[in-house]
Amino acid sequence: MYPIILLSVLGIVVLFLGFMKSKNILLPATLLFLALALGSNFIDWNQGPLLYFYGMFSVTNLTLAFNAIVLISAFLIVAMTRGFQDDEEAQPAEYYGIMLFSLVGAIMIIGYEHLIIFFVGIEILSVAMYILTGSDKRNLRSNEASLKYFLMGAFATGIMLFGIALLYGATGAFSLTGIRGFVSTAAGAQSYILYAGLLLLLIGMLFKVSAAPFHFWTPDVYDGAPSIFTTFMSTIVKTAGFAAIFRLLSHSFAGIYDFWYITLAVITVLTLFVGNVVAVYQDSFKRMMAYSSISHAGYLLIALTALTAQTERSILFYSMAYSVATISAFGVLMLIAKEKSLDGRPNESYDAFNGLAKQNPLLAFVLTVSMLSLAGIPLTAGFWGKFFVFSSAADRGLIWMLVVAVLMSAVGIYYYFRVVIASYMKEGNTGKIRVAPFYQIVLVAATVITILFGLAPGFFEQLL
Amino acid sequence: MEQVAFYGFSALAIISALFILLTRNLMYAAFGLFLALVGVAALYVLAGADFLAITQLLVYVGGILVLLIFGIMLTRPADERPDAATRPNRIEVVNHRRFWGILVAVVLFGVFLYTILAANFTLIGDVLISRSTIRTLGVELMTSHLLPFEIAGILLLVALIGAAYLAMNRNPSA
Amino acid sequence: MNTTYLPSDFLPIVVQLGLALAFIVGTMIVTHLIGPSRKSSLKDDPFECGIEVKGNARTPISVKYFLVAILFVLFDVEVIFMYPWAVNFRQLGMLGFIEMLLFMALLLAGFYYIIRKGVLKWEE
Repeated sequence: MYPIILLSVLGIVVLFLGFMKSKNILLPATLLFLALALGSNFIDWNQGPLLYFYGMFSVTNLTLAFNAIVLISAFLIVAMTRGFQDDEEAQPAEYYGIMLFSLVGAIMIIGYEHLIIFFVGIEILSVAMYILTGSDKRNLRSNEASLKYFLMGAFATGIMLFGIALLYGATGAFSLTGIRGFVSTAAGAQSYILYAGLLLLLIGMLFKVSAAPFHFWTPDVYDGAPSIFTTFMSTIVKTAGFAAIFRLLSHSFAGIYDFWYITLAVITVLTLFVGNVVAVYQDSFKRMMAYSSISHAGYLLIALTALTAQTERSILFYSMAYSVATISAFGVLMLIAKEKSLDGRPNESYDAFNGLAKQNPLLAFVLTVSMLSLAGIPLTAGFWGKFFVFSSAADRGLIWMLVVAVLMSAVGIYYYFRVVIASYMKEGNTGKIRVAPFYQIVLVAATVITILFGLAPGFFEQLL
Repeated sequence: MEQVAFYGFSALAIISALFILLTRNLMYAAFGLFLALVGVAALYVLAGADFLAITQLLVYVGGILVLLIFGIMLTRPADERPDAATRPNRIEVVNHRRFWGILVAVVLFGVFLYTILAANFTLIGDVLISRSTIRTLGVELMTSHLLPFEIAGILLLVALIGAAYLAMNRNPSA
Repeated sequence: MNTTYLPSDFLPIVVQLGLALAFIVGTMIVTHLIGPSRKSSLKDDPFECGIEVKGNARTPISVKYFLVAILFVLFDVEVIFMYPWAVNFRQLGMLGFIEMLLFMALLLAGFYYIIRKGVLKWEE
């Protein structure tokens, strides 16, 4: 609860700091504020399940852990934004302010106990993302991405709102406990309006985390948005979104598992298939990462479909591993794309990575570790993420889904290794890329986290 | 009397919505939207949601519609051929996926129709004796729904910054 | 204050709407009927200060109008929130006042931002 209040206030502070002559204070101030929010997050640690604001917002250790992942990801991403200072057009105060506000939305949808909180939270998150996607105003593709995202997102919001309205009509309650109470009655388990409401709400939520067949916006938007905001979108929105879907399904609708599990299973398999297979055909690394984010949404959906006692932990671990690996991959991409820019536009194709390892062994290593983690190779955090997700599916007896998932992971190895091969095996002259110390710390930290949790995943369990 | 009003305003909303779909002129479509929004506002009144009706009139009719018309005025007509005014609205897509679109629409309509018919509304047959919702809303908004209320302020602030940032042409810090 | 209402209490509004509409439609019909009507190509010509009209009537306007309209909608929504509070002003007391002040502070922060950024400067 504390980070919500703190980030709301500090977002305004950052916005107003932008009126000062010197822009140099903005980055350290934002990092400090994020650290403060992270610290305040743990005030409620081990206080047991708490309810705030008339039972509208709930705090447990697990939601706090989700908050921590979101805040740490934001910290790492913001630390990589040094480049704003070189750009005449950039307005860092607005970017940082909107990022902080969007975190308010993310934290709200992680711990909501009431569907209105969920709705307002996801709207803050979405509106912030529409703006950040279009923040490169001189770039037509950024404009297109923003408009596309906004139009489709607005429709998804409408569908979601319709679902919430139907749920209210069926149950007479907006709160998760109220809905659960209705679902557990005999009449509730048979209510068609409840079913329709749940499906519409799920469609809206799945759109936001880009699950197939609601994924069509993802490649264009991820590709068109400035890379730094793509990173933000693909880590924070996804983590918070899955926490929100899990909350809805486990707290309110566990009683009618038999109804929604088939729908979700079909969507899961479709997402895995679309994400992994289409990613193979991409020539641009950034576009591949967009499809890879769809495929990871698929893996996370497996955990949701299984919905065992371990699901929340496996989602938590998986999104942590995925976020860290994605941040370091995009971090390397941004450096290289800028170094090899064509016609003043960043070059994001695979070819840009050719011969990276010769002059920049550190960058190549960071990239390799993150690709290994995304592909789910042992000794990285990504492996254990997949392991936990798959084992929860096995507990539920979803063997056929496991077969699909393992096959698709094998496909994933192919396209993740393309860039590794390009940087180690192919000829190319990448000059020595100068990496700012801050940036280097972020990349190394992300890599260390990936390897640390890859070697000792039990460490993570003890943290909780 | 109320029945007549209900069907009258429903007809107004539906017919003007159809008019929006079928008209050839973007400006006429905007005015059609005006009538549709007014019809929906009247339906809110009939459903006993007076605050919602006021909001609908103030925000949608008074604000969003003006925004929409400004949006039309901002843009140039795509092609200035003389027959541009006589062609029907058409969303031009590369592949015509009309079949799938219609299929999805019809299936969805069927599902919703079935849902509504199969639902047993407990309120059917009750006479509407409604209190004005505004007092209750005010108390709820200030007590139990305080967090969403304040956070809605943040949402509006984000939208404000975004609008100012994206729509401004010149470099604002200069 | 009367707190219960029926939809039929809104009847006066409907009557007023109907009257306004009837007046417009009535005058249009009546002027059509009683006025003399002569038509010629010269009379039907669009006319402005004696100069012939050139170009399209739909020229793009400045984005500033749009910006103002957006800001209007946003503040409109914020003002809507004040209405239920104002109705209960006495009942909610000091706490409600402070809560509203907080909300207004968010609004004013946005307003201050807009002014400082010069969004409302028309001549630039």
